[in-house]
Amino acid sequence: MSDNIPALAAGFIREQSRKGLLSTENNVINRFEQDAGNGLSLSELSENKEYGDLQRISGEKADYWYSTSCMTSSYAEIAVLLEEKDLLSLIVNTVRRESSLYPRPTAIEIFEYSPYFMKKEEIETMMSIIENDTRYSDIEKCATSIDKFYLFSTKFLPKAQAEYLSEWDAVGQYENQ
Amino acid sequence: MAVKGGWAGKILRVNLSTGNIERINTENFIRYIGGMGIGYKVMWDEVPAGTKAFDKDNKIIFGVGPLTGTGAMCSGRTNITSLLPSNPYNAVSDSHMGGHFGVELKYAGWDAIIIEGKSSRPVWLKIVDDKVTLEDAGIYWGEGTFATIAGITAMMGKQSQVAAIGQAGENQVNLSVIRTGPSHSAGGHGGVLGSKMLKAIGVMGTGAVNIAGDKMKWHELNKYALSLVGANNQHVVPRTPQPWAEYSHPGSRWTAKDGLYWEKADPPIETGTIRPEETNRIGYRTMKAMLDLGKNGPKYTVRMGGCAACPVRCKTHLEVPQLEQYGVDPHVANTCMGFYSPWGVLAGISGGKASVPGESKDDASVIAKALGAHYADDYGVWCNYGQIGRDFAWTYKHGVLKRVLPTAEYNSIDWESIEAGDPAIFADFYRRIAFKEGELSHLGDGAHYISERWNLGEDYWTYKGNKLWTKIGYPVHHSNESDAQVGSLISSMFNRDAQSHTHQNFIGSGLPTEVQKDIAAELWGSADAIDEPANYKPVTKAKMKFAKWSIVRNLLHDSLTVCNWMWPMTTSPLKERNYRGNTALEALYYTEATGEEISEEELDLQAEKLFHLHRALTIRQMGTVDMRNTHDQLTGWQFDMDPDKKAFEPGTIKLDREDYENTLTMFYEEMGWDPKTGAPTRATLEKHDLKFVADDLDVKNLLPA
Ligand code: SF4
Repeated sequence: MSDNIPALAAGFIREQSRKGLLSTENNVINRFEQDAGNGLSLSELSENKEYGDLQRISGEKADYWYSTSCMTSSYAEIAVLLEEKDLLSLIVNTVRRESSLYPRPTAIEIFEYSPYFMKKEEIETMMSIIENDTRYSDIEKCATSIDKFYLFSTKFLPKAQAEYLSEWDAVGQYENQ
Repeated sequence: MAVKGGWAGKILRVNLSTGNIERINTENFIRYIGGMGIGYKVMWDEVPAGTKAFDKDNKIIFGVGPLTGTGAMCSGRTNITSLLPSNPYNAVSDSHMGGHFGVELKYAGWDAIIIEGKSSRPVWLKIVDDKVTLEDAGIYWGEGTFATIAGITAMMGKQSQVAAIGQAGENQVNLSVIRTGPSHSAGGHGGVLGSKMLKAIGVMGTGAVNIAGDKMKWHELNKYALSLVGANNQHVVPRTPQPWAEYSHPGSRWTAKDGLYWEKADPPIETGTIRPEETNRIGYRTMKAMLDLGKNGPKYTVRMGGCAACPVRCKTHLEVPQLEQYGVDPHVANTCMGFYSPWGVLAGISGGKASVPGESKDDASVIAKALGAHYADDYGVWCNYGQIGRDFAWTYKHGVLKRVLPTAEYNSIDWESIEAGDPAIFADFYRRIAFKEGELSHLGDGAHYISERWNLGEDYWTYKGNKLWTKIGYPVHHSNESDAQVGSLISSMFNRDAQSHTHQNFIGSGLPTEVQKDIAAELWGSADAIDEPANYKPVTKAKMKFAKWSIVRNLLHDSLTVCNWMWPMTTSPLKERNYRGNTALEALYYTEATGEEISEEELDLQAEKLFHLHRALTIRQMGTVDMRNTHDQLTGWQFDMDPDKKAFEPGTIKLDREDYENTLTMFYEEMGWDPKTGAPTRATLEKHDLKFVADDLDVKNLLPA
């Protein structure tokens, strides 16, 4: 393996991470190993202190690598689902995470924008799955006075609180600056 | 104490009755920090109790502080103190403006301007360094703020800064502003200048502000401050999930992201994603147009602007070509309520819509907000933090206007267009207010006065949608929705809407509640200082410590002067600091600027003293020691809202009457005030070097028993 391959590989992963993209091992190997023989292992590489920022994250379809100095673990979780086009998990996980962590309800429309960029029809399809599958029975929808809709998880956020916070997000915050 | 750095060293006193111009040494005011502190001291010493806002004996103080003009982050603000005409007791209050006026004042060598007396003819005050003259303002009297500021600037030179009133101020409308620059206004005291026939102040300085400390240390301090600052309102997480960020929040003003443009810039400028370490690009972090003007805000945005030494820039500069159809300049600049208040005037009656032929709903709303802002700013009408629009809508919908306006006047108002959401109505609406035309113009008197004049009754005060906080006649401003008792208490302590953003910036930082609780425990002794939003618990001692700290820092900032919409740096965007900011930063800046070593605690004590003085001024003006029952009580909806919910249930910001009384008691105790009346005790006043205040109150029988 050529001397500078590890540095180049790490640099590539970091650059991708900065753009919000993950790298698979194959992806990296194909890029840098063609004329350098074999032997590039990202696992080994990440043991090296110099490349300690390289981190593996597992998806349903593959393992991915990112740099913790350019991408946070919370974003990496989103990036995996974006990479695997798992729109259902993107919505469900985001809603549960926001309801439990901040806590707050999640405006459905955010999935149309960065970094999700789902089409309206895709969101509608996912919504009908969520509404009809008991595995997602904790996910509920609430409306605001301007007909903007939000999702929240009843496991973490009482309905009344979700309703208040939705109205605040949609209307209240702009009238109270 | 000799002034080494920070302060300019002298204060200007201008008597408009005699034309006398005097220079006072700032040294006597140093223990009052500057800005607001100088204002309160002058008001205490020189304006007798019972004086009314528009009386000749009232004074108005434009004050800046030891950090203004030093280049310290966000140090371009000017504080204005005087009696407030819209307050039923005309109690003391402050308005403040950003821009570059305060900085120029320092460059000219002044820490404050005390205006007193009353001119017999319209004048404007010209300050060029030490040369101070009163100039004839005959040609400007009757003009709006835009023409006045442009005219005086043309005369004095581009480098000058001008603050002026519009027709509303001239006509002594209670709700009027003083404006400076393209986008800055101080609401509430325009009429005081009008009553003195002082149309404007123009200032130009060729000096600089001396930094007493080590210049390299100062430079390092500035770099350090930039590493801790977030977006507007010190929101420290981005609005959308971004690779660099652990957290995000859809309410955050850190709007920067790939694909977001200032679309009217030539060529359009992409804000891009801005990471915390990109301190040279902080100005792209906040695109306020997205928040104030809705979806189509970016389409009309030329750039963001702001105050001197502010890296953040929260004022949207728009180009809205459609405004030319209404005969006004397409360039409008403003922020927050500057856009939202006119919107309230229209949308309160139109049912939340604006309509312009040939324009989409989203474009029509930008046109309406920009056009409304233009007229309100030019006439110099203040909105009382959005209240004027709610008052207009409520009195219309409840038939009050039909009852109190003469028929001819009522019929002269184009109600059909207002109901349809036609922005063209703004010209008529704001002109009537500014020129005191007819009965409708009393909307410009303020809530207390229209309530009395039009006999609005309890329904007006207790209707939740009117958002009236106390009977003093001002609305909510980060009140019970902001950590329940903390925001509520802060909202009850001033003589107008509370302009304290300390607590709101912390609550709105975008960090999860658990992270905020950890920070709260470090700062105010217990994680109980903050609850999850809309899931509130009864009052705690820690909440009252948080409330007190918020108020004290607000007064500190308006005295130093730095922007309380950004300061203090309670949090930061830095994961490596565990999102901690540095609450000692003001003291570090103060130390370097003035050369006087001061700790965070010592500086807070100085600012706390100013709040005792504010309370004493209020007591003296109201003539009663019983602040609890005459000043600090709420209008009622706060306890009766959401009838199907109880206070402290999730999903409501409803308060509990007993808990609110406990809140007051605990806060009074925290302040060293009498727990029964909420008045400062002699011991507390003396502890804060305010013995002269205690003595005066004692003579007037206004000290608690
Ligand atoms: S945040 Fe806004 S108001 Fe504050 S200093 Fe900056 S531009 Fe001025």
